[in-house]
Amino acid sequence: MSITISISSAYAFGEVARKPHSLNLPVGEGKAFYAVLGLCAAAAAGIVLIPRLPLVFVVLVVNVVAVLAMPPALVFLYLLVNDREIMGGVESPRWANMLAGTVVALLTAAGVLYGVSVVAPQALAWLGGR
Amino acid sequence: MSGKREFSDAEAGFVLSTLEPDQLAEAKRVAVPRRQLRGSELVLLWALRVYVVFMMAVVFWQAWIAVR
Repeated sequence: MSITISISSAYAFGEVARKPHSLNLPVGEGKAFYAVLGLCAAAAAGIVLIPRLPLVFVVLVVNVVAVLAMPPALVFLYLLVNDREIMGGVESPRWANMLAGTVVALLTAAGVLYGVSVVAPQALAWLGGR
Repeated sequence: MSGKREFSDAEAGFVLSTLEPDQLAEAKRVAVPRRQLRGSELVLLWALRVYVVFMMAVVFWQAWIAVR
């Protein structure tokens, strides 16, 4: 998983910094890309090697962060696949848009519930009638 | 015999032209101009920014409490 995230980060960096970015590139042509990939992988390895770090808790927190950050990414994808100019006539059909909207709404609602459970746990107890 | 074979330009061109219809490798090199977002799209994206920043604070606060 850390390699996947490292590669994604390196691709994102390449997009933003307009540097060559691909795993097909030789190292000499994609120095920035491979540097970011290596740094991210090294940071992940370094964190794992910290003595007595609660790794299961770290994995849980990372996954919570990933899920909370997902709705904006999905909305960006939604806008992208509905852009007629980019998609050239194969934009997302209505049923897929409704499905995507439902997923974004459910994810956001789950995130809000999580936030409420942390910030005001008594509110959930009140909603549950206790 | 090394077993390694160099591709000629014609062969490489044939491979690229065969893959292009599915992978759009050349088309992906063309930069797409910045899109003008509508008001509702801007509001939605700003709401999601606020949501993510707030939720990150919640996550780190909970992690801090748990570690302590």
